[in-house]
Order: sequence, then structure tokens, then C-alpha cells
Amino acid sequence: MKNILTFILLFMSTIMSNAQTKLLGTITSKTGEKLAFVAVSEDGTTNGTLSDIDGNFSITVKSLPTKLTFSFLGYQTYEQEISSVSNKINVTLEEDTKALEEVKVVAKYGRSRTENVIIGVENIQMSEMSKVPAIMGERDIIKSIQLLPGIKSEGDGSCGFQVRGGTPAQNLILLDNATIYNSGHLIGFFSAFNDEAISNAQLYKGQMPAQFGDASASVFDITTRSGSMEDYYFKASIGLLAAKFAAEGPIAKNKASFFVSARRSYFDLFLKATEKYKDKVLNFYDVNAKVTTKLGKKDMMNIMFFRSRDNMELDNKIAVANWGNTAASLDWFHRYGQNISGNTSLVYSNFDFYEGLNILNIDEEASAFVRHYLAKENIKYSPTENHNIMLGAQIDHIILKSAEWQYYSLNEKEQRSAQEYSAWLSDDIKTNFGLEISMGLRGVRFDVLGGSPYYNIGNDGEILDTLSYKSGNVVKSYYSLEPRFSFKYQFAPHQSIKGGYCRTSQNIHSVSENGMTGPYDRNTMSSNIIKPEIANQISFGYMAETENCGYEFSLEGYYKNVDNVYEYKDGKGFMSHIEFERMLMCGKGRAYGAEFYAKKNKGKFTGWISYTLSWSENKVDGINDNKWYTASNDRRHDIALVGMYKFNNKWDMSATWVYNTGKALTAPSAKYEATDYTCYYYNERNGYRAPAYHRMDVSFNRTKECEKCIKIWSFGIYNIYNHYNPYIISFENDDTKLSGTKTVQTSLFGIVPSVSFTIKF
Amino acid sequence: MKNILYFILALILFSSCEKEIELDYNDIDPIPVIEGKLTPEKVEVKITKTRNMNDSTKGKGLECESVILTQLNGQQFVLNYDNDGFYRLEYDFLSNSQNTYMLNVKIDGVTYCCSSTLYPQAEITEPRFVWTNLMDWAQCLEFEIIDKDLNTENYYWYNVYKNGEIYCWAIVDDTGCDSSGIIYNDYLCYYDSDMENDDDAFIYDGDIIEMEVKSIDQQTFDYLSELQYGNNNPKQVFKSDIDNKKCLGYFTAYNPQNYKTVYNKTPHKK
Repeated sequence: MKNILTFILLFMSTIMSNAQTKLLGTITSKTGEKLAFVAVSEDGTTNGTLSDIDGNFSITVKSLPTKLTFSFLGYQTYEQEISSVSNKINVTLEEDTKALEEVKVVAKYGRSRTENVIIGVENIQMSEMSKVPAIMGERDIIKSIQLLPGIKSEGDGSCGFQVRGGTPAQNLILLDNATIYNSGHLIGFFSAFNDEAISNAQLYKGQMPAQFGDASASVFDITTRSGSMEDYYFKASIGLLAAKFAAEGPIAKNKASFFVSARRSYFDLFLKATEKYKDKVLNFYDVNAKVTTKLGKKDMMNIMFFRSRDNMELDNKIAVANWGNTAASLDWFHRYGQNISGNTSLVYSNFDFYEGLNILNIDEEASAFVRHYLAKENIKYSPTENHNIMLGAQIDHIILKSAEWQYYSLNEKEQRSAQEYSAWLSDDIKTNFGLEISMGLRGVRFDVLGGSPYYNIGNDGEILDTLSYKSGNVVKSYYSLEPRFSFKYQFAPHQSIKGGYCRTSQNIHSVSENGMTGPYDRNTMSSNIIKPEIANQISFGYMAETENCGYEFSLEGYYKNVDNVYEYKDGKGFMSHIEFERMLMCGKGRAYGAEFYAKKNKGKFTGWISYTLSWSENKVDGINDNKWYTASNDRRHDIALVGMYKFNNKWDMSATWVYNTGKALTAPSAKYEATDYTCYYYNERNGYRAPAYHRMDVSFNRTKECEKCIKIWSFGIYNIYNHYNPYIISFENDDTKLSGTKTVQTSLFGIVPSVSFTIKF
Repeated sequence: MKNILYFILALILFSSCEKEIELDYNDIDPIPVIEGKLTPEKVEVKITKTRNMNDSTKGKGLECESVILTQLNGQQFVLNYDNDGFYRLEYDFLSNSQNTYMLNVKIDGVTYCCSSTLYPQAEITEPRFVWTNLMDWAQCLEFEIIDKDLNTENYYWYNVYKNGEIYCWAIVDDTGCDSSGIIYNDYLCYYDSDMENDDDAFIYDGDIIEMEVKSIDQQTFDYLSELQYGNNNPKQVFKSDIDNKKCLGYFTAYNPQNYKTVYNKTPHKK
């Protein structure tokens, strides 16, 4: 064994010691200020580094000539051809006067798919995504990612997205390291994320780096924007349903900056104008704020705050519902030396839900929350340009109130807490013959903590014993070792194959009732009964691009299995019992499929086609005779066509067309008369298909640049050919009809036009 | 509690649209359905089978091998076939209140068995119709059940008939009931603004409204609760003597409290 290790080390050092060229330089602003943390990348490779606090950088390139790209928030991206190693490279970056317009964090969107060593990573470029048509004039990052391969919508009226056969509850959404449990406004009609506040995002579709965990399907890592340290910028936008603004600028020039954005819907103002709805409340808002500070020569700190809220209320508060997220994070970056840096994060996040009904003699209240406290340290060490080691640890304290309800004089509550410890180590190595390897290992210990009741539960859901543990005592511990491995082999300048294996665990579970996620879904944690979800995924793919990167193609395939998948028992729903475990059955899931993607990156016309062929199945004892059955999120075919055309500097347009196979549907197979009504017998869960979903959206943007500002009019049409897509399907006995049953489809939207106006200065 | 979600859903569906679609329903072999009711005066059991979703002919009653009722003391009653799947027996069960009864039904060689306990008659206040403003003026049926035994969990099932036809049913238990023992019931019947649509959902002046409130056992309550939930099947309450033989329906013993009135619509305040 020792010999093998020695051989591997020798082999690695040999392939990494081949002759390379080291380039040195300094980056400054036009005013002469030395710029720290500027991203420097070598074109056509994954080489990259950051400038230090004095604006100095060093990067080792394979050969000359080559091209370097310099990008930094608030400055225009700059590219420079390097043909020889002579003097130090001096680069001056110019301020981006349209800083609030768009941020291109990923230098080349098309290249990232082929260049990233990890398979199944989607780099979301906000500048591109913001051109995709959106409902009611509101840009929506969650809706936009659903146009990418392997990512599917749950349908109209839901903000949940499904990744490679997973459920929305199996996605981890991180906003500057803070977990966001509910990503929708208005029960999913709009995303909770204001596009103005987002800098960039990466979606890991199953293969994820070792620093991420707690997700069986995907990690969606969103980074919010930092403000410009040079100048002030403002932006305001008004649409049919909501208005928003953003502002950024220096607090202390070149030392500290702020960014703030807010959005609020105002359609309740229209309701107030009507006699019938004047006393109703129906609104949402969200606020993002970030302060960025340079602390000395080697340190930088970000403080982020996010809050989103939805409010609904009927006359005199007879019915009230509200929910939302609150998150705050402190992130401290420290450069220990030329090759070693660290990130320390302290994070708080909270999702809560409340509903109340007080009418006639009815007096009911229900509430729930998930509260998360997290401390994280991540150290990055790069002994050479082609070798990156990451080491980190994280402690999470979670308090989760699955439900509390007040029903007349009865108060019932299920609230539990847990502690999670995780540590990781990863090693990314690039060879000079086209092979890149990323290896990682994550270890997780999850402690279920006492202080609230735990149970032993019988087969029929009856409570056999109530177990009491002192607050803070460990009820049960779960351990998980999660290896991660990815490789990329670039066998030709613009072609590569990738593959990987990933194991993850997830300790926060959420079960939705009818395959549609919402803020009222019940959450729970692993307990003495509920086990962590364990997912294993393998994937392989081929990526190619044309020589000038004008076109790119990818084909990926995956297979994954998930242990400890939970479903509701027949006849049970989220309100059946306060003890959540009484209503659940445990099983396993599997998903497999193929994803095809083709994209045109350059020219007046750009766009892409994505197609996903997939299967998703579950096997749960007690459902469908204990056989494998179609999961509620199974969709066989999923197609997205996206086209964007720039007519001139003033006008551009975009159009999207999506098609999904209908959702798996539980419908009756027989009917009978009982209780004086017609009742239905369901022979098979998810045994039917709803009609297919398809629609086309278009939008036109007119941009006018004035001396001191930019004005944009956006005109959009959602569902341009007015196709009513299924939202709810119901059944009604009708013996007057020959068919005997009336099947009714309820749809949410027909054609929806929209207009919005934006001004930036 | 689910009502709140219905209100939210109502808001969402404000701009929605409905259309009839075709669905290719699967056919399955018919499954026996037993609906057994025992009151202090009689036992009535109806035997039918399920029919396919595309069958527009109402299910006909079936004659089976045997229907036997057994008391806790072992006394057995054989129910005789009447007509259209009904088996009936008239007998004075009132003296046996709080007794548990076992119903055995043999269909196609398989015996299905279910038990139920007879509880004392429920005490209710006089039902009345009241207006409430919930998005719009809505007519609610309101009454109270007086829970006599606060030390045990009690379950109730009420049916409302309009001109002899079933209008609605609901179940309620004493969860959250305070020391007064009053269980409040409010059933949303219809919105005033919808009255221009002629529909079975509305009640008109002169309609005869009858109500039957029953004390039921927990098994029946759970069955009805799960049946009401929809989208999947309630837990099977009839056990068979052969494994995996399915049977739908329920058997319940109850002592009904009845109420009858003629509906007279009162105007609501603007």
C-alpha cells in the first residue's frame, strides 16, 4: 500500500513539475489605487488567481502566447494578450459606469461548462438570465434556472425546482452561506430573490464540492452583490405588480461600500380601490443589504442581511397568513500568505410560517419555523497554480418547530433541536496532459438533542412510548462519510469528458402533500425514528465547443439512489397529527436520465436548447404493494428553447418555449357510493399522468442611454399562445354523462402581458 | 385548520380557469363495499361493489352469503336480505348502550369483520343559519354540541339533508374543548353573491332542512377523516379472513339526535 502511495506522489509531482511560465503583475484603478481581490484568469483554461492586497498577482500559464482576463466588481472586465515574459504586467481597470446594470462574474458563460472539473455545475450569469422573459415583468432567478438541462419546474404557482429527479426539499439554497428554506413569494408565484441583489450563482446538480452537504439533490449557491467602492449608483424599477430599487456606493472610498435593494408588491393598493376587496391584505416584500469592508492589507469582511415576507389577511384579521425568511451573515476573508487564505463565516437564518383563523366561533392558529445558527471556517491552500487544497469545518445548531397549533383551548407543539458537525478536505489537481482531478471527503456527525418528546411508534402510527431526554442531551447520533470524486479529461483543445461520484446526506426533511411545495409544508429533522437521507450519484458527460467558442454542446448522464425517502401514509396529511413521524413511511428512491445542451454564445442571436430525458421512482413499504412506483416529480421529457436577439443598441428581444411531460398524478381507478356520496378508490399512487405542460413567453426591451442615466422599457407576454396548463385536476361523478366521470383541470394563467420601466443612474 | 389553506387557495384561484379534460382511467376488478349502521332501533347493512370510473350506471346492491351481527355477550343476529343490497334487522339495542358490536359479512367466500361501539346520544343546541363576511357574505350553519363526558375523547358525525337529499356532512371531535364542554360547529354553506347561479349548493326559502348528529367511535371518525382527506384511500376497517382481500366501507353504531326546520332566509347587513 505504501509503495502505491509513493508511486502516486511521484507521479503527481512529475506531471506537475513540467515546465510552465510564471507571470507577475500589478493591478491598479485609473486613480492609481492598487486593487485587491481582482480575479485573474487564463483564457481557455481553468487557471486563475486573485490579486493580493497590494494589487500584485502571480499566475503560472502553460505556454505563451496566452490571454489573461481581469475582472473585478464595479470595474469593466479587461483582457490582455501576453506573448512573452518580459517586464511585470501592469494593468489598469476602468470603472464600470453601468455597475448596476449587470455583473459578469463568470468571464465566459459558455466556457464554464466545459472548463469546470466538476460535472453538472451550472454557472448562472445574471446578465444573461435577466434577458429571459419573466412573469408579470419580474425577473426570477429560480424560474430562469428551470430552462437549463436537468432542472425542472414544479409547474405554475410553485417556486420549487426539481434537480435530476429530486424534490425541491432535497435542494439546499444558500444565500451568502445562509440556508433559505422557502424561496418563493405568493406561494411560489415569484422567487424570494430580487435579481438586483444577486451577483452570481452556481448550481451543483448532484456532484458537489466537499464543502457542501445537507442536500440529496442539489446545492444552489447564491452570492449577493457588494457595492462599488468608487462611486454611487442608483436604480429604480416599476412593474405591474411590484416596484424595486437598488443603491450602492462607498462608505469610505476604496475601503468600505454598501449595497441595498428592496422590492415590494403593490397590487393590494388596487384591491383597496374596490369595494369588495378593500379590507384585504395581499403583499410581499424583500430587502437585501450588504456592507463590504477592506480591513488592512490582508483582510476583507462582508456583512449581509436578507429578509423576505409575504402577508395575507382577510377582513378584520378573520384569516391571516404570513411567512418569510430572515438571514444574516458575516464573512471574513483573510490572506495568510501568498498561497493560503481563509474564510470565516457566522450565519443566522430563519424561516417561519404563521396562519390564524378567527371567525364566528372558530379560533385556530398554526405556526412553524426552522432556525439555523452556523459557524464555518474554510482554508484554501494552493501550493502551485495547478494544485488547490481546501480544508474546513462547520458547526450548525438547528431549532426546528415542525408545527404548533392552537385549537380552542388545545395547544400542541412539536419543536426539536439538533447539532451538526462537519469537516471536509478536498484536493484539486491539474495535470499538463489534460487530466484534472478533484477529490474530496466530507465527514458529518448529526446529534439529535433532547429537551422535547421523542417517541416509539407502532406500525399503525400509534405512539407506543414517549421518550424524555434532558435539554441538550444527545438522543441519537448519526455519522456519515461522504467521498466526492470528479475528473475531467481534455483530450482535444475544445473537447473533454467528465465523470464523478458523490455521496451526500441530508438531515432536514420536508414532505409535501400533493407533489407541490409550499410554505405550509411540514419540516422535520432526523430523529430517533427518522434517518438521514443518503444519496449516491454517478455521472458522466461529454462537452465540446467550437474553436472560437461560438457554440458549445454537452451530453451528460446520471444515476442516483437515495435511501430514507419519506412519504405520507394513505389518508394522512400535514395536519393529521402533531407528531409528524406518525404520518410518515420510509422507503428509497432512484433516478436516472440524460441531459443534452446546445448553446450559441456569439452574434446578434444567442440562445440554447436543453433536453432532459429522465426517470424518477420510489419504493416505500405500504405504497403500491411495496413495488417501485413513479415518483410525483417524475417527468419523462423536458425541453427548453431559449432565444435572444439584439436588433441594435436600443432594442433586444427574447423568447422561451418550454415543454414538460405531464406530472405523475394520483387519480382514482374506481368509485362507489358511501356516506350518501360518491367516493373514490385509488388503486395506485401516481399511476396516471396529467396533461403535458407547455408555453411560450416573449419579451422586448428598449434601452435608452441618456447623458446621466439609462432608461429601460420592458414589454413581456407570458404564455403567448394562451395555453391553459394543469394546476389542479379534480374528479366529479356524473352519471348523466356516458363517460360517468367529469374530469376537471384548473389552470392558473392564460396569456399575461406585462410592462415595466427601469431607470439607472 | 385546513380552512385557512382553502382561503389562501381561493385567493390563488381568483384568476384561474377550469376546463373539462379527458383522462384514460384504468379498469380494476370490483371491490366489495360494506356500509353498516346500527342505531338503538335497527341495523342496516348495504352491500355493493366498486364500479369503474367510466361506468355511468349507479352501483346495484348485492346479495351475499351471510350478514351476522354479534353482541359482546355472544348473542348473534342473522340479518335478512331486504332489497337492492340492503340487509336489515329491527331490534331494541338501546338497553345495550356502550356495548360493542361485531359485524361479519361473507362475500364470495371471504368473511369481512368490523366492530363498533354504541355511545350515548349527542346533545346539541338548536342549529341556526348565520351570515358572516368572509371575502364576501357567506351563509353558515351554526350549532353547538355539548360534550357530556370531558374525561374521554368523543367523536361526532353530522349529516345535513335538504328536502330529503344529502346536503353535506362533517365530522368533529372534542379537541380543544374547554371545561364548558361546548364544541362549536360552523359549516360554510354558500356565498350570497353566488345565489344567482341555480345550484344544489344553495338553500332557498321553504327548503326543509334536517340534521342528524351522531356520537361515533374513534375508528369510524378516523375512517371518515381519511375519506374526507381525498387523494388516497382511508385505512381498511374491515378485516378479512384471507390475507390481502380488500374491502371498502365502514360499520358504525350510533344513537342519532335529529333536528328539522324549514329554511327562511334572513337578510345580511350591508
